[in-house]
Amino acid sequence: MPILVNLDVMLAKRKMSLSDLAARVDITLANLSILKTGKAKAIRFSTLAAICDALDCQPGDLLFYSKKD
Amino acid sequence: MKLTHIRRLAAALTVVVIFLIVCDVLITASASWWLKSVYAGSLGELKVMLGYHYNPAGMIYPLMLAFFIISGLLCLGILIAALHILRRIRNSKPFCLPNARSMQHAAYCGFGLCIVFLSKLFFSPSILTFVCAGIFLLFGLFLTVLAALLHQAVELKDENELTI
Repeated sequence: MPILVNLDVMLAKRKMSLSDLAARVDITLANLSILKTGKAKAIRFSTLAAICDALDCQPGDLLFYSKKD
Repeated sequence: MKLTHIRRLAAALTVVVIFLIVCDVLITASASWWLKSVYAGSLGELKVMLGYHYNPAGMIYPLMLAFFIISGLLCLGILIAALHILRRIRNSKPFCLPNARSMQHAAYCGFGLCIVFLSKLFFSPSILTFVCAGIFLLFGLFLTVLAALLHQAVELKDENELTI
């Protein structure tokens, strides 16, 4: 997948754990884990907006495009 | 239909398929014996039912034996594929890639049976054989389409499950 999710970096920057984010965004830990490990195939705009709101960042801070792979 | 009902139905069908596998193995393994009996005349009714004629030269016997053994093995392939599909349905995994693969294997066996029945027409022609060949061709085509559909369904399911 050429789209990379930088969720772990943003979590480290905000000093927040994955379970804290799961509680704030109201997404299961399993789903956030799928997103963090890059196994997710798609992300809903509503989920992205909720994560951006919780982490106080832009979608571009979370998602990166890589030409490799 | 609820999932528990589907599982119960799959369990019942598994018993039927296992019974058919046992019958298939017994009939195929004993093909040499009962085919000889048919030619010897002790199973005359079966001879009429199978729709072929007594050949005094005995040239047709090995061909008929090969026909029954090959078709028996191909039927076994279909039944084993069905058994695998039913096992996965009982384990609540109906939409998975192995199911699509098993379905495709069963379709290949169906095509094989069609070819075997068509080749039987050359040494023992009958309308029933021709009809059977047509049925197995349709069976193979239908299962190929079904396997492709299941493959697509699995991809859609995976995508849906991995959408956060």
